Amino acid sequence: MTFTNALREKTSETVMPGQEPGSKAEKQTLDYLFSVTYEELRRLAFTVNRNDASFTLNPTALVNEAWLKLVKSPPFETTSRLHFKRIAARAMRQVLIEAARRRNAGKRGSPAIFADVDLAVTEIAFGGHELLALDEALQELERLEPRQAMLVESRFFGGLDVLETAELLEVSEATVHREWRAAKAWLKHRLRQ
Amino acid sequence: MDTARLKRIQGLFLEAADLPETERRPFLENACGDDDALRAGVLAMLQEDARGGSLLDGDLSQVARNILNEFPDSHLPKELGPYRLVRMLGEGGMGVVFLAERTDLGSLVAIKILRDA
Repeated sequence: MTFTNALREKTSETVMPGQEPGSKAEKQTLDYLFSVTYEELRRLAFTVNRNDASFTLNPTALVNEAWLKLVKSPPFETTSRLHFKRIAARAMRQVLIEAARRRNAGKRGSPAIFADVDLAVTEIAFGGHELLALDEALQELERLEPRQAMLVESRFFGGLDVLETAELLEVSEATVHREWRAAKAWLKHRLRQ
Repeated sequence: MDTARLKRIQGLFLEAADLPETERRPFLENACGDDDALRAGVLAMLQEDARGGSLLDGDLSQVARNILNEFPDSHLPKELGPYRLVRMLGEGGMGVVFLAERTDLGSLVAIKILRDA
């Protein structure tokens, strides 16, 4: 599922004001928006001092920062904040997946973790392996239920709240809660198999 | 798995999740009939729903940090007693977790180094 297809499936109204839905011009604009957003998020993600113990890479904060910077330039000027967040969610996912792949390059399989009686071994914080597995499961969900996959992507990678997600998908908040709950359970089950 | 199947399994999950726990099995016995795979799938989803502790239950901040944080290898203590540090795995609440190898045995373990240590 291409990015532009997924976005168009959401609504019958024109995504880009002044452009014909499904037109080549619209596709080019959306692809452009995506590329620029992706580059900006990547820049933001990598320039903060990551070794600072107090550093938190909060996706919502990054998306907001990117928006503040980009909104001044065309065609972002005519993009709604909600649409931007939707694009940014996909871009954020891309940034993290690619970073996870680079880290894993050359490493085979997942690390073997054993408890050692002499050490306090704790659970491992989730990292690249888990995210790559999630990405695969999410791709499968995209094939089966694209709107639900969009919901997951927007909420998890873009930090959209329930209200924003409801508006994006043009459904009720109750539907968002239900779909999110079902999607999570399905994905988690998939990840265990 | 196709779309219809997914809709079915998710639909049953949502219905069952809304029932009091004692009513779930009878409901599923009835709804799934012979389809053991379907029932097993829904039950598994109900289990996942009840339990947290997965990537999706948390937020992205910690995961993102782990992925993007390139702990410079030059700052890594190479050895810690009988263990050789291989690479950083991630960061927990109180410290950093490394993959380490026992130099005499060759076994792999995870070592957590507390921040204040």
